[in-house]
Amino acid sequence: MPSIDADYRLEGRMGYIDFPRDVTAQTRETAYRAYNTLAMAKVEFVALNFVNSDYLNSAGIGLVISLVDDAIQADRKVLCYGLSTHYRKLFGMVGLAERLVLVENEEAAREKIEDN
Amino acid sequence: MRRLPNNQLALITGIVLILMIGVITLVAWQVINRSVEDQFRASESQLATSLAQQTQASFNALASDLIALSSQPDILASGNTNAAQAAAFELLAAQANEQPAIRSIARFDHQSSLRYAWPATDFVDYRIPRELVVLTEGGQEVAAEIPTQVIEVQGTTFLLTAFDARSRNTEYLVFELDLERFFTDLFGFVDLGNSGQIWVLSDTQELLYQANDRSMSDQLEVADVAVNGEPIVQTYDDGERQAVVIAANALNSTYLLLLSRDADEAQTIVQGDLLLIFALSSASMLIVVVLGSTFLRRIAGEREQRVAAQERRESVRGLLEVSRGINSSLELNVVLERILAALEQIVPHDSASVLLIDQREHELYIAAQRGSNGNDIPQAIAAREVMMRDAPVLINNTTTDQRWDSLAGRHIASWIGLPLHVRSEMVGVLNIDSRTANHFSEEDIELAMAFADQASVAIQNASLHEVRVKQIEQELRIARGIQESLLPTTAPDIPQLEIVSHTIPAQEVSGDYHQYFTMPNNRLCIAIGDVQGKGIPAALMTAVISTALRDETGRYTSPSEILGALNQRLLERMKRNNLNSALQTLIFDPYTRQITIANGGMIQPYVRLGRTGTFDFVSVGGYPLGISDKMNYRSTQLTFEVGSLMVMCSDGLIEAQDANGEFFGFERFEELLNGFPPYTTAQQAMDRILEAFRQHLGEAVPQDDTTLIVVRSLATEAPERPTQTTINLSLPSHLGFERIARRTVEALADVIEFPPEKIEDIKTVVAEACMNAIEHGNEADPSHNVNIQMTAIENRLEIRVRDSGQKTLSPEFPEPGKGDMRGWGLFFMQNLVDNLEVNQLPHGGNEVFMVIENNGTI
Repeated sequence: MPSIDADYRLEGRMGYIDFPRDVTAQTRETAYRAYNTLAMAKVEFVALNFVNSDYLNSAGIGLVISLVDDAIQADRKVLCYGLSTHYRKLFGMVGLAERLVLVENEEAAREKIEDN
Repeated sequence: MRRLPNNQLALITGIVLILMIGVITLVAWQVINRSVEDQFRASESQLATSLAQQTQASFNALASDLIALSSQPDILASGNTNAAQAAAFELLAAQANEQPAIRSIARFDHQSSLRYAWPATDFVDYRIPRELVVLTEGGQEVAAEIPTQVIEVQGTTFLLTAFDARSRNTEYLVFELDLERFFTDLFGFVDLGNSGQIWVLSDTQELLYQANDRSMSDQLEVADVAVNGEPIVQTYDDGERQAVVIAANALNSTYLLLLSRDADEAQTIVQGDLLLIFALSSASMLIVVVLGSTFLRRIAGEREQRVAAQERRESVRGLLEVSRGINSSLELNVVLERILAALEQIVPHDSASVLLIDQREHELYIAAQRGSNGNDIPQAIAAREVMMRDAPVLINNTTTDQRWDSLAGRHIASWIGLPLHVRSEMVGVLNIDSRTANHFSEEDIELAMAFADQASVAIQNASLHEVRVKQIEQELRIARGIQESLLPTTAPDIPQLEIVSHTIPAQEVSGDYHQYFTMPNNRLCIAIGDVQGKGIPAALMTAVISTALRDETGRYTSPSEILGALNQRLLERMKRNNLNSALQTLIFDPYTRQITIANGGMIQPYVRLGRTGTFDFVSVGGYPLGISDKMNYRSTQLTFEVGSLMVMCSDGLIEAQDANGEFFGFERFEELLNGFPPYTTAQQAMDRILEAFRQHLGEAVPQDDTTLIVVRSLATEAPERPTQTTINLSLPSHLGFERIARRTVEALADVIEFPPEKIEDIKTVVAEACMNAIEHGNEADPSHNVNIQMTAIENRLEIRVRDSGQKTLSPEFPEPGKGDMRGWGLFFMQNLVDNLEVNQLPHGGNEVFMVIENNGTI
């Protein structure tokens, strides 16, 4: 079975949430655990890593929307990378593209926070 | 009536006056012959009787007031709360203020306990007599058995009535009376002179009231007065005083009234009366002699003036009535007939006619006539003279007047011609004829002129109305033409179908409409609708809907989508114009013989599947267009196998009423349909329905538009469908299995060369549709499968995802991100496919039907 669990990494002011191959409703628990851990570490930036993800269903996209809402409310900036063109389009359709910073890859994300 | 000459009138009046004087003298003579005492007795007895009657009437009035007060809702109420008592107090206070003789008012319960009284502190300690309370012990309703009555308690008089309160107990309302005040108000106006006296005694001879302060004689015998009811006259104090005694019956009590006066004063009054009578009769005679002739002359003169004024008033009133009568219609012919009929009341004549000017020929023609054949009237020179002068012309003798054409109207001896105007332009002549020379007076001309003015106004109104009616008729004809041009003249030529339609408009323009549209893949759309309302607004709306229908059938592929799109498109406009439209859309697929139907408020179509069997209605419904923006229409499918018949109709057929008001009705309709033999063609079916419809109507006129469409499925083979590939999948209802559908549709879309990004869209929508079916339609029950049909036809992909309908999905699309978890999934489906339908399947279950076109755009 494909992985459904999200993981996290901490790197200075930025925390990473590494999403699994299938992002669905079942990813919600591990994704929120990862976000809460990063929040306790008082990161200023949250980077959403979709490099390994090739399937996001509507529940998965709903989960991302919730996470982004929570992070923005806590004054954290959200970056996102690793999305295919199709999912970038879907993120645009649901209004996520306006609320987070879409970058090409992890390196680009690091550069982005260095500018801030 | 014939008028009397003045001298005869004077003679008659003189005789009448002499007779009157004689009568007065005779009466005076009789009065003189009557004794002074008799005269006194008679007048005092009369006064006493009158006072007794007044007493009785006043008690009855008080009793009525009491009964009326007891029936007031605030009194009938229980009266247990402060608010209820406050409302009752207001009523009691108002009543007491109106009647000064009422000292207080109180309400008692059925046990004789005081509930409340006004004024609260003034009420005497009083209880309802035991005999009444016994009657109502237990509180039962017996008010009707207890009459309103007067009760004496410890020297105080009460008026009591019983009533049935809302508590269903009998209770009592009581007036405490101040009898002295009562009789003072009643007798205060009586002129008693210097020695007059009035006493009022109770039936126990207790003194209740006394006018003047002389003491009552104990010589008076009053005990038996109440028995016979007649007044008794007595002399007492050794003949010095005269007295009249009478009993006044008031409800259940009796009062004795005594009137007394000194004998010498009575004599003086009577003698004075006699002297006055003599003085009056002498004065009357003198006045008659001195003023007689002058007075009579004046009376006669005034009478003549009154007669003349009355005649003038009657003429004016007549004209007003005539005006009212002739203006009560707007039909020109009727107006002209009424003018001539009314003219007879104003100016007596033998014949009359109205000639109107033909505006094109500028010649007079007879528009209406009365009393003659009128053949020669237009040739009359005199009528032309009226035209030329534009003024009335009077010819009192046609045999000698040169203006009269001797060849015309030989039977006419005198004639009046009057111009008729509309907006200051002369439009005709009113002819008034008489066979008698010098028949018409100056007064007749004046009246006729006034009448002609009134008639002109009526003609003007009727002419304007006629023009307006012609305009409207013309506009309606144009509207009808436009509407007809929008309706199909022939049914489309579909080899698999025989289609027949018929429309019977109830008015010049109709609110019914129907249309046929060919759609991609040789599909046919049939639409039948009925705009609520009639006339031009409804006709215009049918034109708007027809245009919009054509547009939406090019955009959407399913009947329910077409209805939904039309509803959204026309909703605001329809609401603004207070219109709505029922509409039924049907799409026939010639390859599968499948018919898909959606219905917005029309009568459900009737179908007989196959050549035999019975007709049944197709269960599909929804609101008419223009009612609600929340409406999500659903489609129903059926296979229209060879020989099947379908009948679609507007409500004009079912609701058609015969002369007795009986409806055509569903029962008659179904009986008719089920009487169709096998192999009935669409045309035969239509003919039979129309024949039954006309037979039912009989002489009655249809009240509503009626449209009928009959469709029959022919045996002609369906054409070969363009190359298509279909893949069917059946997946267990377990989340995760949607990935299989994703991969399958990815492969199929790749085969028909969809671009990669479009394939990603298709994968997403198929996965979302499957998840929708697993989670919601089948409620994640693994024993129910989700069936997916993917069909690739040329550059088009049709996908059907069906569940078993453990839960019926709401036709409303939920708002994404709020509440219903289907929100984002449906949001993606709506935005990523070319067409989307959510249907309920006829045998249960939900279906999501999606169409994605490979048109090179993403």
